[in-house]
Amino acid sequence: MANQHFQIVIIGAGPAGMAAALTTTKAGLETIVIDDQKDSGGQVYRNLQANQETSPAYLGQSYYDGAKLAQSFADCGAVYRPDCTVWQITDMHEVALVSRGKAELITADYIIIATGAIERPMPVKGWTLPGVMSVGGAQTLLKQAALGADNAVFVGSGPLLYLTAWQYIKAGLAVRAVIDITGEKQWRSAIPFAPLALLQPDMLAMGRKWIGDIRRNTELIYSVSTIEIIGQSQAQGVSCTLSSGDKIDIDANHIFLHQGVVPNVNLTMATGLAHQWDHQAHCWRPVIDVTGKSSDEQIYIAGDGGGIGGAKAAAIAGRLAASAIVARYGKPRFLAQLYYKLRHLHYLSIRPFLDRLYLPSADFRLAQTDETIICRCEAVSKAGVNAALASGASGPNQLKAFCRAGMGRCQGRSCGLVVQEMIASHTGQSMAEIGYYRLRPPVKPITLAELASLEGPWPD
Amino acid sequence: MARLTRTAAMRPVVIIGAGIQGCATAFFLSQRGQPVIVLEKDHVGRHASGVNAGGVRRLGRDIAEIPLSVASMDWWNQIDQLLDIDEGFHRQFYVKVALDDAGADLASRRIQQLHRAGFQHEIWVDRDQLLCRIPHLTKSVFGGVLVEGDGWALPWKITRAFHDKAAALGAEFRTPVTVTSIDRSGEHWQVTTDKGMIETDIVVNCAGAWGAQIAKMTGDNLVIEAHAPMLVITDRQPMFLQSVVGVMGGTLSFKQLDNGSMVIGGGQRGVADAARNLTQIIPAGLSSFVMTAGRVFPHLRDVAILRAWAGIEGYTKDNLPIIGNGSQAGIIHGFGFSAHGFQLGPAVGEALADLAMARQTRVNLTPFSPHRFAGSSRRPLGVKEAL
Repeated sequence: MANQHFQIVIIGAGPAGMAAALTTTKAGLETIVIDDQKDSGGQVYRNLQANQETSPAYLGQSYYDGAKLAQSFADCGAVYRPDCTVWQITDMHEVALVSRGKAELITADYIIIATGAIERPMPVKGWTLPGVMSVGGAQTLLKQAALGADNAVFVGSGPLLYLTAWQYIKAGLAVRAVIDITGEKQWRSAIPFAPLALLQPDMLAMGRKWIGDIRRNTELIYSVSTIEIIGQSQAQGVSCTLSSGDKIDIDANHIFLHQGVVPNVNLTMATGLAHQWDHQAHCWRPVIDVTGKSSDEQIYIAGDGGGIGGAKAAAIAGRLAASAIVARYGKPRFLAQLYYKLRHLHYLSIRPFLDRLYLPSADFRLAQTDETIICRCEAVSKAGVNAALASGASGPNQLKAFCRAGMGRCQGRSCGLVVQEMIASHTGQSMAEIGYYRLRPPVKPITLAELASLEGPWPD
Repeated sequence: MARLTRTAAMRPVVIIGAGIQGCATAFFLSQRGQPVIVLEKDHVGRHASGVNAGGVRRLGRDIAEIPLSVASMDWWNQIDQLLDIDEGFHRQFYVKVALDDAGADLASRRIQQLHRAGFQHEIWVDRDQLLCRIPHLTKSVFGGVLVEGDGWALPWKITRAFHDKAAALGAEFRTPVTVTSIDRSGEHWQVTTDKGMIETDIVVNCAGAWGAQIAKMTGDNLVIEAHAPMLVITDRQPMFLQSVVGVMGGTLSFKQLDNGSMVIGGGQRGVADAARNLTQIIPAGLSSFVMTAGRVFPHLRDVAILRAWAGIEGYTKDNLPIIGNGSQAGIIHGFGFSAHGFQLGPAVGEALADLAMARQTRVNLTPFSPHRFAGSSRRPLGVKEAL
């Protein structure tokens, strides 16, 4: 079967992917948008079209702000392929995907990767117990299925944590407590960047409103030095130590963890694109120019996958990447590009402040106790990783062979940064020197029959 | 004896490459009290030795290679004691199944050919016996060629164990160290690296896919091509397989590890970029051998693949390894295993140690001579492995 070809392949239909498609289709370029969700919107505008029918107020105005973009995207003429798993991009710019049980290869002149962010792992003791999930997961249930749990405890820091706790409260759910791990040190390092953040008064006001409403409706606990989830076979509560030395135990069967988001680099790294360690945001990000062009001339990265900026910055980044590509077809759009560049910078002005304020301290980035699981897929504890380091593993990829951390289904999404930082603190090298796991296709698991379908139907 | 005396002097033998061949050679030399320095440009078992399919088989080997493979199996059968490890070798059986008439025909010709050459280890097993031993096999199987006592090992674990044992016996491993030139200096060799120069009498080249580069530094023009055979590993499944399965006339190697994951390989090559240590997976190639796996085990339709990978390996023109003395005294080559060197590792390590100490080798190494390519580029007919 001949490969399908499109001028533009966009991976991901969040704000960056949708906005990019508006620009490429308007320029008359054949565009396909491949998405792993059932509906466009990405994580931030998840299930927006369905929710608009009843428009529950608890999801907040910033969520419904996505409606216009989603509608324009639906009308723009791009081929939209929901429910697909992209599992590899080859050197030949073939995008390998699985859709409805069948593998396909789609080639492109240009590829825009807009695969967004993932939550930074938060390896506290007991985080693998049933009843514990990420705040992002809790918010997904709220948006997708109007599902929530009473008497939950939110633990961590960052805008998504406050937003979701706020949404919970507005939805009429009882929130037992919000435990905020933001430390004094983070405040001190963030304050110098507050004036720059004032360029985004709406964002700051929104954050203040969330936190104010949380404070009025539930217990907000600050100055925390240790966190532990209690329970044997199911989460039964959170135990935390305050910097004063006091200990607080809170009963809860539902505990939601979050300590910020980082670019989802699994596809971009597996594609072999250049990446760099971002000291400010403490994460890996692809090396891109101002238009999002990666180390591969034909591949652009837009949105949070290229560096965290939030939904509005992502949409502009999508426009910027797309207009740079349109220009390469001989249709320069100098003014539009200049406008997008300035808007993008404007939206990013709050990041230096947020990145510093909500970068969790090393106490929370690294596990606090030996028995804490680091690699969830292979059940490798902190002690297990340390044992591998002691016996001579000198990098993340060697460490895989020594103790299997990072060898499971998630391809390191939930342990990569933790393992890397443990190696850094063991060897004294920088994060950039140590590097990340070598990531391999399939970027997400596909079945044997799906892979074999490139050849033909599975034998009976 | 004069040569032996010289070699046994305290100047260490320099081994280039810490894959299975280099580590096994270091082990045997260290065991005999010979000082050794191993230079590795990356880290131990970084390439083909650490990431191959882990098949430990005599089955299906080129006839020229069988004596070496059989000798190696003696070491595999005592690998735990040899290296102080547990469950180093999973001794099972290895079978190449015939899925059609053509496969069955190939199988019978193969067995006849081996009998003529005096080997009895490969046996034909018919459909019913095979289904009895591997109940999940496709019911349309014709039978298969089987070797009892073949099996598999975890490649990284074994390579690392040879390293650990050699190091414990005194071998010195230097990583990451890249050799930049090898020069004659009077009676000795000077091995120049990015981290200083080492004088030695004996250089053992176990540099795998980079072996030809090293050989060239010693004046030997040996051609190999770097390729990257691809593998996939699946999610864990209930245990159903206690053997390694291949296909007659096709390329497949299929095994289930202790944790229930399956490793599936099949000779399909990805893209190898030896200069940059990079490999690239080719989707169509993966698809092809996964389809073959489906023909053998159709019940695995919905099992998830977690990862695909490829290791960089050196292939010779005739697919037989290069093992033997180079054209200049003191240079010994052991590379170009063409993706079937893992099982040979222990015997090759022993043989290279013998050569380094100017001893008679247990196995005749003539078929692997580095000089065989000098004249006619073709091998004698009849030994090319087609099965």
